Amino acid sequence: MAVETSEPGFSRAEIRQELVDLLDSDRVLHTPEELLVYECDGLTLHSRMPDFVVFPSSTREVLEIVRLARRHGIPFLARGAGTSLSGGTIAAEGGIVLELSRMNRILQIDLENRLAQVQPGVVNQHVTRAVEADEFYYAPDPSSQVASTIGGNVAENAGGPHTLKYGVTTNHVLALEAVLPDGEVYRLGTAAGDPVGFDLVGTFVGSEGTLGIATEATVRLLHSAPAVKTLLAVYDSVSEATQTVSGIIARGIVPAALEMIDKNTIQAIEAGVYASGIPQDAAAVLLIEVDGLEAGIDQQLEEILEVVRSRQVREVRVAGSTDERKKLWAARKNAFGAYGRISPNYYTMDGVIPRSKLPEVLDRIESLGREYGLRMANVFHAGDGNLHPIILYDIARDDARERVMALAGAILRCCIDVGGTLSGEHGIGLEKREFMRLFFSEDELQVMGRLKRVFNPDNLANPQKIFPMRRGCGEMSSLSEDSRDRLSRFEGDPEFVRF
Amino acid sequence: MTKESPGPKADPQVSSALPPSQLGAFTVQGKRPDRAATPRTPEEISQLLQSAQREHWAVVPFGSGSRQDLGNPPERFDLALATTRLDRIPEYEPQDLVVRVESGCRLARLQELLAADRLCLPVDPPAYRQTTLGGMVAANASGPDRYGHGTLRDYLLGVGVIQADGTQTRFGSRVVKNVTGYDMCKLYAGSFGTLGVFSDFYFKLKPLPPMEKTVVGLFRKLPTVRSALSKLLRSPLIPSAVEFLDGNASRRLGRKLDWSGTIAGYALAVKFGDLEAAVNWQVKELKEIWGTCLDGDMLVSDPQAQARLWDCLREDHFCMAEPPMENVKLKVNILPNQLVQWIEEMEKQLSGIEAPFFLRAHAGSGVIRIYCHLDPATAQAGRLASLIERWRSLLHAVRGSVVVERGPASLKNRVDAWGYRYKDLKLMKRIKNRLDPREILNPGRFVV
Repeated sequence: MAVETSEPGFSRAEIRQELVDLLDSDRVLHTPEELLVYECDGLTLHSRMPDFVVFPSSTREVLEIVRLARRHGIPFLARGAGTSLSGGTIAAEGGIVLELSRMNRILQIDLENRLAQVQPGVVNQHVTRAVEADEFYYAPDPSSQVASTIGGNVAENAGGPHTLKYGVTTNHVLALEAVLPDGEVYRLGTAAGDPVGFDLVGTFVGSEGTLGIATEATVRLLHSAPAVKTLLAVYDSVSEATQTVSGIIARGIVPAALEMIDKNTIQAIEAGVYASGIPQDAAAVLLIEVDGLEAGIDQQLEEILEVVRSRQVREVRVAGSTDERKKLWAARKNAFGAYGRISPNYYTMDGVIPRSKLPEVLDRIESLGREYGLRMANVFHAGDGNLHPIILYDIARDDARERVMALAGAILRCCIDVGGTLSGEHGIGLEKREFMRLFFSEDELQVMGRLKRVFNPDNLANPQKIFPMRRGCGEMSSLSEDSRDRLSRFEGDPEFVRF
Repeated sequence: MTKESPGPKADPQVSSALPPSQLGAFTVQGKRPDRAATPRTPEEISQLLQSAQREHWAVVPFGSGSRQDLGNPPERFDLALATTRLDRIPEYEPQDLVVRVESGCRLARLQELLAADRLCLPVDPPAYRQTTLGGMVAANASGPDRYGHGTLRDYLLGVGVIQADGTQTRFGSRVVKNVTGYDMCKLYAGSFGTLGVFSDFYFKLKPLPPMEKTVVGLFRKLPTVRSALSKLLRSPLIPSAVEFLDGNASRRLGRKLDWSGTIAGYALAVKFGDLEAAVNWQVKELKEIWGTCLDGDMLVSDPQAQARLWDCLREDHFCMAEPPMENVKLKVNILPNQLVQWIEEMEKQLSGIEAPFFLRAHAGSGVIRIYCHLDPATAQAGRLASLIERWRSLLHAVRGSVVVERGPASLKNRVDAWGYRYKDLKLMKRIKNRLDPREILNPGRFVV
């Protein structure tokens, strides 16, 4: 265990006792049975049990735990709802997981300044819920928003369907309070005008827990749009759908959301309880939403419809009521749940491409799926060029894992080849760190490594995330290894690089 | 890092060096550089920085120079590194709403190109005609449109950076959503040329609004400004800009625009840019919600009149004095809802200095600008310096700040330009130390 090897002077039991002294025993989990649920997150392909899971309820307690971890040289990381899809909350080297669900208070709502100050364990959707009666909301809306927390959203720079028009998490965070690995509490950024000095909030957001733990966030609130129009367009060909997406963007219209759902996803949805009556033989569906003021909303919709109708479209449905709108969105939002009905396992990927490359990349991904003998589905933020290819597989089959990883690697290379990147909103985590060299040069990794060491010099804050562990070009095969062995395998290896 | 063979020791070390007769153009706050260079490629920048490392030169990255008044005067100034010849627009994808621009390209030139496709980079900082993209990113410079569109950091997708040691690096890319590695674009935007020299950027673009109209509301008393602002900010209206002017500033603006007799008292200029129906509805709605608060209002719908108005409102000129008076420009960062309270306070305290002053603000964004004309023959600079210090302490609780954006040596010798005293300064210093360990980039000018 990490604890015993890193600090021979202290036993696991002694460290547990120190944690209990800080938090009481009911807030310190340590038995394998208790820890089991914390061995993985939304990325089920990886697992590693932490040594302890603790439940701090204040910044002070987070600080004390980080100081304890630092004293003993134990790795630590924060966890919200554990919905990370890149392994962000897996304790890759064991150590302490700080579960922040008890830090779930909304500390202040200030509509005059259009901001909310919240603890990291506050669920994303609860922020909106707290202000919707006043016609305000918090814009970033990851699909996990009913569960995922602001702390996790900040760590991963979460996106969502409506980020096309309104931006991702980083565009909505004004200030943070964070406990950094040096065992100090810092305030970063400000709600008062422009921050002075380096943009540390912008630097911290999306750093995947490797720079420290956010213990408070001041987020921007927006006034809800008084008018929303949602439409669903059904296509017999994928390329007609993607051409429509390009057409809308090129026309200079910025919809609030522009989502695409492919054939396999449609079939999965329509087979289940959230069936929304999309024809099962459709090749693709676009879900398009415009919002704004009542005045002008019909014109926005008309312009979209004009583009939609300029391509071969089988059917267009415009939601006439809030209920109808919710039903159209239900298809999109329940897509992930629906895959379970058509496949024993599925792997949700995340990659970004220039949106004008959608037609060619979707074709390429489809043929890659055939090449690797795996079924694929796709449901994604088409307007942003943010793909979520879903690889459907059966883990019980011998070589499933290897083939899934090989296919995933091929898809990521394809994204990079057309000028895209490895991730639009899920993060790098453990999942894609060995691919980082596809995108970054050694020099660029070194610069980011230097930045990391400013905050996290001993590499105790969420180790092994983001940065590749070994030299050479990215190989997804590392994913299939049990991360438990990995440290011992690579440490001491001349090729082992620690960032 | 690409190891270049060391250049000849003789100075100038690169072909892009300028003759001494041209150095005067690179004077920063009274200090002339020993040499200046205008590299054409990232490779040339890299060579220059390698020379600078070797010789331990202090380097000031330069665009048009329109923002070099910002910050503290250079401690040392050995090399002005001007990016003005890196001014290409190598990639432009109107159908993707993305552009790649070299750092020395002027904003105005980029906007012209984009406007032909009804697109824009929705930022409008002062020095709009001269400013280069590199200078703007370094300062994260913004103007009135920041209320509706955010600042440059929200549009910066990718950046090419030559590190202090000459290493060429690139972060981000041309896609609009990206969480691959740290968000280095955010660190570089607003880093004031202290972490590297920019070669080029990817920016996200927006469509130009189909139409724009501006309402200028006039108010005799500050409490009515407060209630007008709070009504506006609680409403569903989506203005792109909300600018506040005090009586002095609005009078000067009126004179400049030949708005005879119509402008008096405090003014709020509110711009709407949207589809025609949405603009017209908002203009009507604004007058309705302001109702009795208003002591007068003007609607500016003619595109040329609007262009003239906003050309003034984003620039400093109409609030500037002629020599021998010395211009001071301060930026005060406050909580947006404390605007009127601060304006009241400032009016009172600034009158004690007995120098003319003008107050303007990006209302709703919490950014106040004070323009003050100091008479060098008096002790006004000293009195202003103590006011700045007093305001800095008052703003400490909300993490606000007072930045001296422009001022004579008599003021800058008395107060630090940034006055940043928060705990995270320690982190900023460590970042600077890691990324520019020999402190060759803009030493002493920024907070670090």
